[in-house]
Amino acid sequence: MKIAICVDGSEEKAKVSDVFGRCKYFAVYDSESEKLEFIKNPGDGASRGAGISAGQVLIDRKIEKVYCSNIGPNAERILSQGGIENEVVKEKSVKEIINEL
Amino acid sequence: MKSIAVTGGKGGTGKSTIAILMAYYYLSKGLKVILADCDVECPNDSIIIGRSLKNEKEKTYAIYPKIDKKKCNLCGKCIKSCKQNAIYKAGGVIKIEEMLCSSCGVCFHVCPRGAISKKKDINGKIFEDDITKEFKLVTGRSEIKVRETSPIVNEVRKYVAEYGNDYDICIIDTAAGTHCTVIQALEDMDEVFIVTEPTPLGVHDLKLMLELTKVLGLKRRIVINKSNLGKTGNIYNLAKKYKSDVYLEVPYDKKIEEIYMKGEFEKNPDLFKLLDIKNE
Repeated sequence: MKIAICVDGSEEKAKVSDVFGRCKYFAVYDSESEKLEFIKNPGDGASRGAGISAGQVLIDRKIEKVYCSNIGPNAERILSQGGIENEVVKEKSVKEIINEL
Repeated sequence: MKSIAVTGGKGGTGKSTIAILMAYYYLSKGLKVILADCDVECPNDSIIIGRSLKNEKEKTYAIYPKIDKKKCNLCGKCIKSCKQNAIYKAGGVIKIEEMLCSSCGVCFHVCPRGAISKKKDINGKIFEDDITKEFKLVTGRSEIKVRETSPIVNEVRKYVAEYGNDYDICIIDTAAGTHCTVIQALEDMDEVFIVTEPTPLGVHDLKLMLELTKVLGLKRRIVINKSNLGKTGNIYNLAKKYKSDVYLEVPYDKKIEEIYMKGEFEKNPDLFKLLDIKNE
């Protein structure tokens, strides 16, 4: 399964960001290949529609599930349209989330 | 017709009050005046003057993109072109978030397959009230849930411009802030009056408005409302720094406040005489 975690730092110990649309990076992890990469979130810095632009990048990357601590209504809609599940987690790091998969 | 705007950045500085008093001042000079309420999200000049918004003249429309699924090949050029991030692709179709759309129309032009058509939706209304033969109030009002209201301001301005030289002066009363809706109201004005107050908030927002009008290349003058309630030194310093000037100081006056609260400016057309409006 391919997951994405909203983070503000591009490292494994980074904790899940407080925001979805305007988080700095997505930690993208593929549980089959066990590969982890950090991609920049285009929504960070968008004047409007950050949630839409962040959601689009996840859809394009065929992410199946996203972990965030908060999510706005626009973002929630685009994720559900794109068939991406979202789970709200608080205070966990990238490493912890991956280990629990 | 000369066009001036009354604006201010900060809310509650007295933009509408000053705009209305200036209207009565010009009327007293024998000029024919249009007052255009371009605070379209909460227009209230009619209430302050003591009129009701009855005479609906026009509806205004936002244009939204509509995707023809048969023609669309999902190339995504519209998504990239949208500065509002209102277009996205999910589940094998292009979707539009109308709440984010600013009706800019770029997507219609970039679509290589002509798959985007225009969909009209009411976003506001224009009301007209001939208070007297010489004094016309035009009010723009946005519909509920419309996010992008600057196109309505644009429609009000086009509506007013059609009166051309039937009137001598048009006073545009803008919304608070320095966002698109205000910019749309300020563009190409002959003169802009920035209403502020002697408080740290007033000074802060005055500075933003001076910056904005500088970028827009507009001639602007400052009105200090409630000038006796605080220190005005910072305002004069800003005026000097930005090569503007203080056009008018309006001391706090209980009589103006009472008439404002009752919404009885129409019954008190001479109230402007309390202001030391300069005849320039």
